[in-house]
Amino acid sequence: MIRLYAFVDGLRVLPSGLRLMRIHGVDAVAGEVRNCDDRLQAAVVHGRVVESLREQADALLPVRLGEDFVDEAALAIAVAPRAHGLRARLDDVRGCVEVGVRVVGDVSSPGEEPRDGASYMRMRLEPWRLRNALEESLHAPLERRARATRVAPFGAAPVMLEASYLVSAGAVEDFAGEAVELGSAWPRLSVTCTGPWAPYSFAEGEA
Amino acid sequence: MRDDPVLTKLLGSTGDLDGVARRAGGAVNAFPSRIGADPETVERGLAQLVLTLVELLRQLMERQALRRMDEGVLTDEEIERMGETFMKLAERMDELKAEFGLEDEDLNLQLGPLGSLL
Repeated sequence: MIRLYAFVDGLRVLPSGLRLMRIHGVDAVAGEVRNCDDRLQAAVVHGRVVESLREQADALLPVRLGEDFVDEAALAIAVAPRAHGLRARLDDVRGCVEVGVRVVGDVSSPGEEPRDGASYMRMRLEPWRLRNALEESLHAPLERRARATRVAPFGAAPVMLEASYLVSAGAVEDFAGEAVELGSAWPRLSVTCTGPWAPYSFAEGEA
Repeated sequence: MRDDPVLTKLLGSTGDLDGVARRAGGAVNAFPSRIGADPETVERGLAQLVLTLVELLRQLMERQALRRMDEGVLTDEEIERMGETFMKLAERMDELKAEFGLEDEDLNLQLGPLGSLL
């Protein structure tokens, strides 16, 4: 049984224990499946393999955990119909990494309980407006620096904004610097910028 | 805290970093939940699925209501009536979550390439 880790282009060094397969012009990286009952541990191992590939490739599309195949022939059969789209998406992410920005904060007043329907709606409106303001003053400037973005729909406080940005690998530090600078305008909120990650959020094209 | 594998990827932050670290520890919850076929757990699994869909609808309706409220197109009476409905729905959801031993983070579905439902 083999596990598919990623599709790559311009891979400089193949990490040990992995194999590279060319399928209709697309390079797929796979490895033997190691038995692991611990899902968290399996995810960590998978993530490390993908990260090691990211450091060695010009373009990479990570594959989610658990894409296992009986052998290389079965993998080729599964990948072949998608090869054209995969080549196009590799071009989309070439030279880029994913950077995540997460804004959290409890914007409600402690112990505050709605007395009636109108007060309930007013309490919900405050985080809603804050989210809109964050989209305008924090997300929009970052979006202009990114090649593509993915923003999670607003659910409820404390997660006020969760977004992924596809950023040129050479511009990550500047991007993070701007995220922190923009975030400092919101002292009641925590703005966290993480990365660089393999472009997980952009591997499947526009959702 | 710096040894946390998530925080080794920290590029920068403002505010309560300890709070971020605590939330990062909950990353294990990101794994998709499955409905167990065990008769003892199937009821809880189905309740989780149904409540997730109810929560999705509640969020969509509430977002729409807040948008209209923010635009100033709702009367005071409409705001009161909608707020009361959402408040009662939230209370009932809390009761049902408690009954089935579910937390807020249990009410979600991983949709593969589409990301998470909520």
